Amino acid sequence: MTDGLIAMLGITSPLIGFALALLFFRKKHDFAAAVVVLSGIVSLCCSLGLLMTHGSAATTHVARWFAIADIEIAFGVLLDGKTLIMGAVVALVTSCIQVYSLAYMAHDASKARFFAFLAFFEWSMLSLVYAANLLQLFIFWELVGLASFFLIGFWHEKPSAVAAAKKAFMMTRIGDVGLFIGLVLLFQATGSLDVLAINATFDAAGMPATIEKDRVEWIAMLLFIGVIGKSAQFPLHTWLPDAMEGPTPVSALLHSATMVAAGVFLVTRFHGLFVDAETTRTWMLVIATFTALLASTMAMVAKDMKRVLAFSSISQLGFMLIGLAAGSLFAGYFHLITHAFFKALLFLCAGSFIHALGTNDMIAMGRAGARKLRITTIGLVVGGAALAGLPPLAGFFSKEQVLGALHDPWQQGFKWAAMAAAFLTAYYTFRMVFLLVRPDAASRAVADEAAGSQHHAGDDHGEHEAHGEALVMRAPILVLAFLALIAGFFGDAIGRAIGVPDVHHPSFGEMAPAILIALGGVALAWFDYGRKGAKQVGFVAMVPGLEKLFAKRWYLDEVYYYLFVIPALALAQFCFGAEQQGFDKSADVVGAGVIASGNSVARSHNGRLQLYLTLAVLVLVGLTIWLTRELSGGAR
Amino acid sequence: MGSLELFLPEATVLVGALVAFVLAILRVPQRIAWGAATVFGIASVVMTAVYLNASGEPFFAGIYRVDALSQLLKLGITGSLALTLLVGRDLASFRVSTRVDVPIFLFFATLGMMALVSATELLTLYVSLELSAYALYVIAALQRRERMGSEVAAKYVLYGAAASAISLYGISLIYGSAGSTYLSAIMQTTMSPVFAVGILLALCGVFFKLAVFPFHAWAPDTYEGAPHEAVAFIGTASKVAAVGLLVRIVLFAAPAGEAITIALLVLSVLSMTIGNLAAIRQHDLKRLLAWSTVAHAGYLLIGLSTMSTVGVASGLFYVVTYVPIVFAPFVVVCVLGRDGSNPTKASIAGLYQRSPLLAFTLLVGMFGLAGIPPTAGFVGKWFLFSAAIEKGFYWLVIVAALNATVSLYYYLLIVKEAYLTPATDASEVRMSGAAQAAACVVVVAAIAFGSFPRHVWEACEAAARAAFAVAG
Amino acid sequence: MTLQTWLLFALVLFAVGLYAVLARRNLIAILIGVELMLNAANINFLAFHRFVTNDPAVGQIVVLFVIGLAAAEVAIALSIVLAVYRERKAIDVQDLEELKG
Repeated sequence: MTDGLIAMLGITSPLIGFALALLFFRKKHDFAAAVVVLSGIVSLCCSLGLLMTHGSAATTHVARWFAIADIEIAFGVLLDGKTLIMGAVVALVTSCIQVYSLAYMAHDASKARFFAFLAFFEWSMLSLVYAANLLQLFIFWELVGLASFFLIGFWHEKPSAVAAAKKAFMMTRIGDVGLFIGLVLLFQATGSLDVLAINATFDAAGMPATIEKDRVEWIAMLLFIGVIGKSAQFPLHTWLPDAMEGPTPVSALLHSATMVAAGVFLVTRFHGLFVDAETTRTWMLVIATFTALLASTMAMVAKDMKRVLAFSSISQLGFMLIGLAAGSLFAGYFHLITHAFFKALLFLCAGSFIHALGTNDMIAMGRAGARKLRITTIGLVVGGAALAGLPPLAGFFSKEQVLGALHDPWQQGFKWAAMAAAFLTAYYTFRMVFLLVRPDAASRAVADEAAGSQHHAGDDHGEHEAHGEALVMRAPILVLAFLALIAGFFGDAIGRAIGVPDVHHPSFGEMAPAILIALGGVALAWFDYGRKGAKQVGFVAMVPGLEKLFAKRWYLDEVYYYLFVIPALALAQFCFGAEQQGFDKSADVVGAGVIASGNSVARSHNGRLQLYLTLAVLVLVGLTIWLTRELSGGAR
Repeated sequence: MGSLELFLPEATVLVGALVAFVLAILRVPQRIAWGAATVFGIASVVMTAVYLNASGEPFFAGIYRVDALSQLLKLGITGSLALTLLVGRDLASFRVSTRVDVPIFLFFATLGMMALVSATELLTLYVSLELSAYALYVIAALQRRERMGSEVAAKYVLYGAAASAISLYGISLIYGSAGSTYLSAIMQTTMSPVFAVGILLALCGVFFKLAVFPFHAWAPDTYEGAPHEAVAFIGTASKVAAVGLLVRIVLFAAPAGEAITIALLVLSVLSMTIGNLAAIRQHDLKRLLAWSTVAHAGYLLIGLSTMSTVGVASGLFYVVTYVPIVFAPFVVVCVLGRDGSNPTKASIAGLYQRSPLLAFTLLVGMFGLAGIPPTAGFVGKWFLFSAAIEKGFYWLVIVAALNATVSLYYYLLIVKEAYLTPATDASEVRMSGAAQAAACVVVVAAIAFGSFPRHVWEACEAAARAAFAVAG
Repeated sequence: MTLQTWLLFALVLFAVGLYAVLARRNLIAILIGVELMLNAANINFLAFHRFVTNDPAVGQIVVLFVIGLAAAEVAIALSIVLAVYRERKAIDVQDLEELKG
């Protein structure tokens, strides 16, 4: 029982921080920040304490919330290995980011609001992780989305930030419809809302006897649609790169332990269900592999540092899902945890560079002396090496597990594709590192690249003079760098905690390809960007058109625009003679179609009383005729 | 024959109406008339709450019934009345000379609605329906900007009269099929095409009040043009009463089986889709609320058209919790529109800086309408969808979920305006103490009903069972 | 005369009234249309009362109430029409199209 109370304290502490910061310290910015950081630390202590003391047995601590008909709906926390580890990671990463934000956002006019929403974000994510039933899970899934909406659009006077926030929200909502229906069907099939009870149905070997196979596939597919939206997989991935319009600490949070992690966490949460749904898993594998490859190609040519990291998040999320789709819970979960550390680290480094140098463009950063920021550069190299999968850093072990999970003969094709993506990951990561730390390698490509940098500058919101590294920015970077260094060695412990006791330890022979791939990627990056006299032009530039394709993100935004917006507009024009509206292309594409039809409906409402009444009477006559026929037909 | 004591809630409202009438004749200052009316409004809520669990038939056995259903809905109705009176101290959008008369009509409309939810006989139903409608026609016409007010009132009254005439024609067909005007007798009647058509036509009166497609068209124009407090009252109390009527009628449609259900579901889907789509482009806050009402009427129909106890209970829960939720934006309308103008998206920009309480009220209202937890809007939708799924209407839930997604867009835009866009006019918004109280009440209720729905839900289930018990 | 005859008569009356509501421009004419619809319902009540039920009075009482209600409704509607006229010097329904969208 005390464990349940500690967990509740850990969850509600950020909520209290949020309420205090928003209600009482609206104008006292430093108080608000202090309260939020404090609440985060309380939450961290609770999570870590639970992780240390709670055994591996899964328990729920619930209280009755309400009952509908015969179904009891409870509200409470579920404590098992998956929850406890993820909860600790969320609290840890959030705390680091909150401390970091003390310096990063020090001069922002709405600092109090920023910290309040950070706490809100933490509360939603922790509650999602600890959720004991489907309803609770869905509620906090939505609140996580809502929190990111507010944080991505934090700098609301930037129209691009507002558009990005809207896009993120609408894109993930598309997935959420799938998730909602999936959860409802899951409830129908199992007759229970309790996560443990549901998992008990599916975890047993073989298919559950009570539920037909098709139903399981449907549920898994619908849940996966929700994951596609949340974890930014193809084709709903386009919101994530835009989401870096928010302040950099938000990106760090969003890309590592919260928002996008929620999708993957959901799959690990219902892993038994996904294991039973083989067709869905194949689809998952296809989509995740494709996304991993697609996003790495985009990252290869991006110039904006945060964009590179955003594409790499999409790609790494793809890796996690590859592992899960291949049936290895451990591979996906492990990569989720290690990725949380090194991606948060990389974003915080990016934030330091941006904060100090006043630009997002990697070439300009490198030239402005990025490597003079010593601690940040160390963090960058450690995080980059972890992301690239160089041994013995965290990313190496987990990525190795993902690749190792693809061992069936029919999965060989996917394995090759995943290896290609891993190679590209190493390449673009070290492209970034070399651009930042070896700017003098540039002999050419100065004039033409500089032109592209202009419109990205200015994330730092006002102040552009160079800052040094504040202590509160260094400390979180060092903590996360340390974690990225050592997290890989906790594989066995994590495996035991989540119920995979016999983690496969690859022999050196099995590891060799992964090491070679990572080193190969780094070497190619060295050749292209790092060595003395390198032209700092990627190898893709040798294939005409390919670089542009990658840089334009495979033209997917444009494709969606033509696929959804143009037909909707044309239809509206055809039906109601509506004049063309000047749609902002950056507005989210599906939403624009909806807006167009909304305009048409409203315009057809033309203020004429008798037209309204005629419509009503016509509908009534139609219904009357149908009803009469239906009923007299039944009598016969 | 029950005790006359059961009539006390209605009697309070009646006395309130008479007191307001006398005060209006005496031409007392408006502030005093308002104070007296507010006292009676709150007293009526208290009275209804005291008699919440009462049941019996105070008079004319079989005509007027006090049971769990009627008392629950009466609480919603009197609650709306009290809230309207609390925010309506200034009645700024009413013509100056008529302000002192407004409470009279509010009380009479309330009385009609209370009778409507208790009536179990067709003529009583119709008379109460008309009593409330006439009072609403009058207050809708008292707009300070007379040109707009007269257009609105004419449209509203003609639309309403036509709907009620169609409804009466339907009632005559029901009477002909059942041979009686008592609901208990009608519920035993076997289904026939004439009976079904009668039910359909009789439902037109309800559709009009709820603004269900195809009888939704009056809502946007009336909401935009009628005085703020009148719209707030029409948008809350009137919906609750209409649901009472709908429950009564739907129950004797049950033998028609699938046919009426399908007809209702089609209307439900059309309502929510059209309402949500049209709401997207609205800039006037009241007009936006009107279209959102159309959409919510669609959601409501989901629960009631299932004709199961859980379905009816979920519909009741939705409408009862809808009162505080939808009243929240109306508090904003009444406070911001004190110069008689309608608040628009532009005029609520930066509300967060001008009045944190008002902005928070708006936020809670919008979250509630959008169905974002922890407001009651989320739990309400959850109940509705569960009831639909229990009946196997998966496609309906999918359509409704898509609709809820679309609606989020425009609700959140409002929140964004209030919280993120900087104010053009940074002056602080002044709220009267009564308006502040109303704001606090709706915020607390909207969140409390959503976080602890258990007791309200149990009351709704009891009400649904009581509705089914009329036949017995 | 049989029940069917009366019902048919009422239906025709209802249709005529509805047509007036939907097609006439004059607000007063629309109002008259509504009255016709109400009276069609009244005739239905009386016909059912006479031919179907064995209740002594209900149908007739309903009709008396409806007549009273209709009178009240007309009073309100006419006063509103008067307000329209005061503002616009016309009572054409097509003048009432300023609120839309």
